[in-house]
Amino acid sequence: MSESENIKNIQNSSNNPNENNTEQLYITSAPHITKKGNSTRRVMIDVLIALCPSAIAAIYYFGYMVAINIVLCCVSCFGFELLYNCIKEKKFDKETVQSASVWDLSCLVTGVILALNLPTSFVIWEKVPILGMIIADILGSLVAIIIVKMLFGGIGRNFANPAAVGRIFLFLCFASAFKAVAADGIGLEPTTGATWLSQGIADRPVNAKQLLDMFLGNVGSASVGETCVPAILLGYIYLCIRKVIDWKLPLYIVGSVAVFSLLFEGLIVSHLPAKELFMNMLANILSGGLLFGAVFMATDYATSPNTAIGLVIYGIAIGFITVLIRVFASYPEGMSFAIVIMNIITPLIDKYIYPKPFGFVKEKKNKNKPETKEAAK
Amino acid sequence: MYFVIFWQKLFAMRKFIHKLLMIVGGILIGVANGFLGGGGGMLLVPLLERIFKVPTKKAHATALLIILPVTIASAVIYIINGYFKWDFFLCVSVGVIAGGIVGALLLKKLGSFVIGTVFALLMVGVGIRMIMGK
Amino acid sequence: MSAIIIYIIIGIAGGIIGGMGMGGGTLLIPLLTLFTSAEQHLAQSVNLIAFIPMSVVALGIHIKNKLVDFKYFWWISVPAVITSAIGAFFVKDVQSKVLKICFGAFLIALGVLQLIFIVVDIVKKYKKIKKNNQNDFSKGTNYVKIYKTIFLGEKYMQNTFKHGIHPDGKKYLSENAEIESFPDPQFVYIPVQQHSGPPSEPVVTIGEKVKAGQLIAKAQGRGCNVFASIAGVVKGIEKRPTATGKCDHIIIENDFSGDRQFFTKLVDPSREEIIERVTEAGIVGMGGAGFPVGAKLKTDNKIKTFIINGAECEPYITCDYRLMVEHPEEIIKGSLYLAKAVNAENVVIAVEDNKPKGIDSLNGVLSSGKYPNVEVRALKTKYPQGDAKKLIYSVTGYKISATRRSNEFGVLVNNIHTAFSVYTAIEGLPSYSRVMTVTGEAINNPKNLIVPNGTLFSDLIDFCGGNNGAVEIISGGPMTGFGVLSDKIATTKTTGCLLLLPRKEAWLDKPGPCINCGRCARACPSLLMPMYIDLYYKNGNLDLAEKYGALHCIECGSCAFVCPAKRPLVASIKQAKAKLKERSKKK
Repeated sequence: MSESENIKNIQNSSNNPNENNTEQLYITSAPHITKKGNSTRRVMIDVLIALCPSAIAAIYYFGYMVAINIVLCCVSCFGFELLYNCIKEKKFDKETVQSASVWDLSCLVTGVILALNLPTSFVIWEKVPILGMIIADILGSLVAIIIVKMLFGGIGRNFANPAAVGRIFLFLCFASAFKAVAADGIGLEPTTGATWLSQGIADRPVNAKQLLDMFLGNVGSASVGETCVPAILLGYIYLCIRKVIDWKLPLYIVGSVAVFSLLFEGLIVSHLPAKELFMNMLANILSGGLLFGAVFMATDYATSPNTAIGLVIYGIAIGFITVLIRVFASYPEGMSFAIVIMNIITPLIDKYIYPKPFGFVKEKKNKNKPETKEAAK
Repeated sequence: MYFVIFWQKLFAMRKFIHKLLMIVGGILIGVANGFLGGGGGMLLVPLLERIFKVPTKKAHATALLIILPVTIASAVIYIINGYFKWDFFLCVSVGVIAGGIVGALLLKKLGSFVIGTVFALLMVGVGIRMIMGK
Repeated sequence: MSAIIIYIIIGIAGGIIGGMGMGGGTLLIPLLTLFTSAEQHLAQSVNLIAFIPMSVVALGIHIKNKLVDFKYFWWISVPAVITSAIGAFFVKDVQSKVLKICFGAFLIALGVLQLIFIVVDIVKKYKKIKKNNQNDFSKGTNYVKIYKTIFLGEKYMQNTFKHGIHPDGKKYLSENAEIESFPDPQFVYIPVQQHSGPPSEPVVTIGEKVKAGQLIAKAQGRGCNVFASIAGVVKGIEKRPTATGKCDHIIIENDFSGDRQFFTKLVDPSREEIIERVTEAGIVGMGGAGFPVGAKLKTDNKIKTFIINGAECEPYITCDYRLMVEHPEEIIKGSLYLAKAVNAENVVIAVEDNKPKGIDSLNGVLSSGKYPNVEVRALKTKYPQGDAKKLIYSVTGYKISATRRSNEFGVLVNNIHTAFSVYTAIEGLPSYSRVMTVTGEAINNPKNLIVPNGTLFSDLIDFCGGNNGAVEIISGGPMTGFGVLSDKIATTKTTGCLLLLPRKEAWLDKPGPCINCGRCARACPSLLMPMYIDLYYKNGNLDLAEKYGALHCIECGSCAFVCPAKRPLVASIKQAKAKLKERSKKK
C-alpha cells in the first residue's frame, strides 16, 4: 500500500477506539485543561453582583426612579449591541442571535454603571418630565455601546470606559438637566440639593456630621450610585476576593487624590488650620463619585494598563487630573473626565512600560556575564 | 593546656554530670509542683529538649510521664490538708478536659513560635499583676 | 449557678493553654485567683487534681505512639516526688499573700526564661538558614526570606520563580498504583525518530529475526540509536502518523521467545566510558524534549552542579514519582554517573513538596552516608516548576532565559527517569522501554506501567480496563501534550503519559475575544505579555510580537489556562515563534 493510503487508513479506522466508547474524539492544541469556572461571563456576573449593594443603596436613598433607570439602561444597552451584531452580519435570524457577542453580559455591566451615574430627574421638556429620562437613557446607551465599544472593535477594544463617555456626553449636551437631586427616597428626610463640591472652594467648611452624612450617603447628588460609601466598599471587597480587579488601583487613586487635594487646597486656602484641611481632604474623597469611579470605572480591563508600574502611573495621574479639575475648574465632574483622559493615554503607557522576559540580557552584555560568574566562585 | 584537660575530664564524666543534672532538675521540679502547685512541666520540657537533646514531641510526652507521679504525690498531700471542694473541682476539671482537646487542635494551626512569645509575655504580665495585686 | 459557669469557663481557658503544650495549668492558677474568690492554696490544689485525668489519657496515647522515653524517669521523678511531698506538706503554713507573691515571681522567672529560649532559637535558626544558603548563587543574603522562614515556617525557604499557576493536581488517580510490567504486545511499531534531531536509518531488513535490545536503526548526525523492544520478526517498515507528525515505523511481530541482548556491564566506568555508553544505548532526555543525552554531556564548559529534575509539575502524571518511591538507589547512582561524566561537583535532586513519600524515600537512601555530594531539595509546588530554566532559578538563583543554554552558568539539568535509564544503561540495558502513566478520568483503571517502545495506545487502553467516555486522547501531559485522533499511535522514548479526558475535563469551548484582563501576563512565569503577542501576531506585526517576548516563551500553557475568554494563546505564540525563527534564518 502506498504511504498516504496507509496513513489515511490508520486515521480513519477508528474514530471510536473502543466499542464501549460512544463519544466523538476531538483534537485541540495544548494546553488541554483550563481553570474551572473561569469565563468572561463569570467575570461580568461578579461585577454585577458587586454593583448590587450600590444599586440597592441608590434605590433606598433616591426612590423607585433609579430602578426604572437601571432596567431601561440595561435593556437598551443589550438591544443596541444585539442590533449592531445583526446589522454587521446582515442577517436577523436565530443563529446570529445565539452567536452574538452580547451573551457575555458586558453590556449589562455598562448599562448598570451608566444608570447609576445619572440623576433621578432629567427634565428636557417641562410638559413631559419622564421623556427626558427616557431620552437620556437611550442616548447614553447608544453612545456608550455603539460608538465607544462596538465601532472600535467590540469588547476589549474600547478606547475609553463606555459608561464614563456616555455620562460625559449627556452632561455636555444637557448640562442644565443634570442637576443634583435631593436624597428624598423611601421615607428619608429631604436634604439640600446642592452638593458639597458645587460650592465655591473658599467657603466650604466641613464638620464631622457632614462627613458622616457623606459617608452614609445622606446627601443629594447628580449621580445616584456614588453616594453610599459602605455599599461601594462592599462591592470592592467582593471584587478583591474574587480577584476580578487589582486591589491596589483604587488605593492609588484615592491616595493620590488625598495627597494632591491637601497640596492644592492648602496652597489656595492656606489660612485654614491643619485639622480643617484634613477634613476637607476626607470630604474630597467621599464626594463627587471618586470612590465609585475608582472601583468600578477606572478598573475596566480594556482601558487600564496591564503592568504593575503602569497601574501606579495610571492611578496617580487620574488622581492628579481629578484634583486639578475640581480645584481650578470647579467642575464637580472631575472624576469622569480624568478617567476618560487616562483611558486614552493607556496604550501609550503600555507601549513603553512592559516587563523584561525572565533572564533577559541585552546582547552586548551577554559575553561578560558567564565570565564574571566563573570568577566570582 | 590545663583548659583542654579540664574539658576532656568533664567530657569523660558526662554520664555522671547527666545524672547530677537530672537529680537537681528533679528537686527544682518537685519544689515547683509541691510548693507552688504547678509549673514543673515548664521547667522539665526545656531541660529535656536543650540539655538532653530529646526531640520536641518526645520531650513533651516524656515530661508528661515524669510529672504524673509528682503531681499525684502533691495532690494527695493537698487533699489531706483539706484544700478540696467538690463542686469547684468538678467544674474546673470538666473545663480543663474540654479545653485541653481544643488546645491541642489549635497548636497544630498556629505554630509554636507565635504561641510561645504570646505566652511568655502573658506570663510576665500576669506575674507582675500577682505581685502587685491587692 | 453563675459561679459554676465561671469555673467551667476558666477551666476551659486553662485547658486550652495546657493543651497547647505550654506547661499545664501555669496560667490556670492566676486565672482562678484573679477572677474567682478562690484563695491561692485552693487554686493550686485544683490545678494539681484537675490535670491528673487528662494527663493519664494523653499519656496513654503517647505511650501507644511510642513517644515516651523511659530512661529519664527514675532519676528525675524520685527526687521530684520527695521534694514535692515535702513542699506540699509545708505549704499550709505559708500565708496566702506570701504564696501569691512567690507564685508571681515564679511566673515572671518562667516568662523571662521562655523569652530567652525563644531568642536563642531564633539565632540558631538564623545561623542554620544562612549556612544552608551558602551554595545559592543569588546576590547577597536575602534577609526577608530568612526572617520569613524563621517566623512563618520552613515553606518560605524555597526560592521560587514569580507567577505560575496552581492547577488541580489529580495525582490521586494513579499515585498509589505500583509500577507494573506491561506484557509484551503482539505487534510493536517502533518509530525511527524518537528524539530531537534527524531520523535514524533502519539497519534491519524485512523478515529478519531480532532480539529485544538489538540495534534496529542507527543514529544519523546528532540523532540517537533505536533498539528493538521485543524479540520477534521484522514485518515491515512503513510510514505512519505519530503524535507530532509522521515518520517511518519498524513493525516487529512478537514470537514470544523472550530473547534479549545486552551490552556488557561496566564497573566503575570512567568519564569517557560513561559518555560512550550513554550515546551507544540511545538515551534521550525523557522529560519530553528528547535531546540526546550523550551530546549534552560532551559540553566543554565547567559544570558545578548537576540538577536532576524530579519536579513532575504537570497534573495527572505520576511515573517519575513512582520511580522515586520504588527505585531511589538506582536514581541516585544514575545521577552520580551523569555527574561524573561532566565532572560536576554536586548533584541536587529537585522534587516538588507534594511528593513527600518520594522525598522520604530518596532521603532514606542518602541517610546511609554513602553519597555525600547528593542532596534532595523540596521545592514549592507550582505549575511550570519542572521547566529547566525555572528549576535552575529555584535551586541556584541563576536567571537564565529560555533562549540561552545553561551550561554557560555551570549547571546541567536532566530528568529523573533519564538518570534511571543511565544507571540501567551502565548495567547493560539499552533504552527500549520506559515507565509510563496511563491515566485520566475516562480510563477505568489508571496505572503506571513499564511499556516497551512502539506499543500502540489501543493495547495500553485495553490493558487498563478500557475507555469510558473519552473525548480527547493526549500523548503527554495535559498542559504540554499532543492530542491525537486515533489510538493506533505508538509510544516512544519520550511519551511519559497517556491521558484520556472525559467531556467535563476537556477544554472544548469556542474561544471568545480578548478582554485585555491581563491574567495571562500575571500567570506567565517567563514574565511575558501573551495577549499582546497574540494580538500583534494576528495583525501581522512580527516586530512587536518579538518585543513582548515571543522568543522567550517556554510554551508551558499557563496563559491559556487562566484566560477567561478561553483563547488558544500557546498556539499563536508557537506560530509567532516559528515565523520569527524563519525570518531570522532568512537574514
